[in-house]
Amino acid sequence: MSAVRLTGVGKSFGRSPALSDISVALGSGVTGLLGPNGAGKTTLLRILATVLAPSRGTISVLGHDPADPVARTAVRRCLGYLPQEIGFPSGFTVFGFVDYLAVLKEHSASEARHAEVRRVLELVDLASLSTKKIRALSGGQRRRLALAQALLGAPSLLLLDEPTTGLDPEQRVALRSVLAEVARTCTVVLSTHQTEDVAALCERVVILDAGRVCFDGDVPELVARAAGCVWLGDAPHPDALASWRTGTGRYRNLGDPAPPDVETVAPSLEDAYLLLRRAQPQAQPA
Amino acid sequence: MTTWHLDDDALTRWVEGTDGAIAGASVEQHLLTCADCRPKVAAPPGLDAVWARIRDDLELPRPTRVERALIALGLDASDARVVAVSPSFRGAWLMGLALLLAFAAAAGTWGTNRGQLLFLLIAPLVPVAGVALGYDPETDPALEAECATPWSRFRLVLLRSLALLITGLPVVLGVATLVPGSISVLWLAPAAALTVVVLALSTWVAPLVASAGSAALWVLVVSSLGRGAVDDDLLGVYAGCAVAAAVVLGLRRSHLGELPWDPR
Repeated sequence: MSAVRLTGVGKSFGRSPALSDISVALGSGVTGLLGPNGAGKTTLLRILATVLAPSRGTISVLGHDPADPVARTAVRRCLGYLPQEIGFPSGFTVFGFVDYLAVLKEHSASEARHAEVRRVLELVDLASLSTKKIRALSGGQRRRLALAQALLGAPSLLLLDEPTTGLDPEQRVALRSVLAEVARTCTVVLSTHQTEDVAALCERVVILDAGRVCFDGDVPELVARAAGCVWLGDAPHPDALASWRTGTGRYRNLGDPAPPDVETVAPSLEDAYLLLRRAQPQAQPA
Repeated sequence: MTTWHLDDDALTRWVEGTDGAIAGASVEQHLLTCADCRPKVAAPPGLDAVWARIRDDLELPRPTRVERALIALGLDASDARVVAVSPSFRGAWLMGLALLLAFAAAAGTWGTNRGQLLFLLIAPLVPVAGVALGYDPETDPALEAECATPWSRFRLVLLRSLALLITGLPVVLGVATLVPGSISVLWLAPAAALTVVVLALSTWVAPLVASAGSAALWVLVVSSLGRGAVDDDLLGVYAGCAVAAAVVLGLRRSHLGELPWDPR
């Protein structure tokens, strides 16, 4: 059974449409949401997180319809949500902030709540900073703190908007291993600009462009679409859809199809994503 | 050679420091001479509990003054925490509120009719601004994460508003006693109506927008009617507005849990 099912979902802000006719069903495991800025990824996650109501369409989250207030509360009890931008009330310590969110997540028994707070701080490697004021944390540490509150209570659905922003490579790898572990028992939806995160974590990828789904499938399936479309050369190829100089001094060219006189190389997820984006008609907002 | 050994109870009291100076010194002296008891100190009973207490002392957030006051008023500790996080309880806001009220009271006390009008203009807007600040997205940086939790936002808004009124109203009322005439009491009627109207409007627009709109309306009323803004006839209108707004708030309460602004 799908943890999340959207049928014909649309969202407009005034006269400006942000999402249009989104129909997807997401099951267990990690699903990546990819897309350029303004594609509607954050709006979609906010709708799934029940903090924004859709303008059109129907949604089922964990078997509940969030349009109904009682069902919405039931969804929120099983939800972990990391917003794209999260601020922190002034004066809080690391422990105090997560403890505050734990109170809002109805962890009312204080001893069990404190144990849960310690557990999630351990998970994101912030236990040793638990007494530190948040204003003294680095950007990466703040991001991990924001993630810690999303992990409270072992949620059945974890929605993460740009979770790796501001993290250094080591922290990013550590976070991936945490998410891979968490995803064994829950559905994770991850919005990101980083194709490396999707390649490392996600079994499935949904690509949004101008508020519409332009790809929904397995990561290998997306990568396979770019097979035979990537080649290296000593200069940018005139027929290439995209071309850039790599660290070796050679140029990586993308084109569909590749010219006959070139030697193609194995595509990456980023190549496939770029090809898909270039192949789209110039997107107008949905 | 020693003829007695430390039992678990004695060791636990020593570890916890509850055995008193003399008994503690005796235990330490004994440990120096008894090879059988010394290994017990490496992992004495109760050590985990002591560490847990130390960790709690260091880690757990201490209740703020506002939290302690709310708990004393009967709120449960979790509710008090959630309410006390409100920006309305920050020092800067409270200081600004005190200065503004002092200014209005001085104008009302020593000024002429115009001074009292100034008090009438400002005093009802104080609770309105405080209530709006208590849960506006612009002033609550963790709002989006908070909205996605099962804690009822309606309850949060009401609790924060109530707490603000309970803690702030005595100050405002105290200052109002300095103002001569019936205005020192009558301002409460429009204040109550405006506060509930702001809460009701917040189910459509952001609370600060709602409070700005209500404040503009109140300025218009006072500037056109003067002291007539709190005439007996209008007191009934304020009561009616408050009741109607309360009904709207009750009907639309679930909208308080949604983000009220264009997030793009």
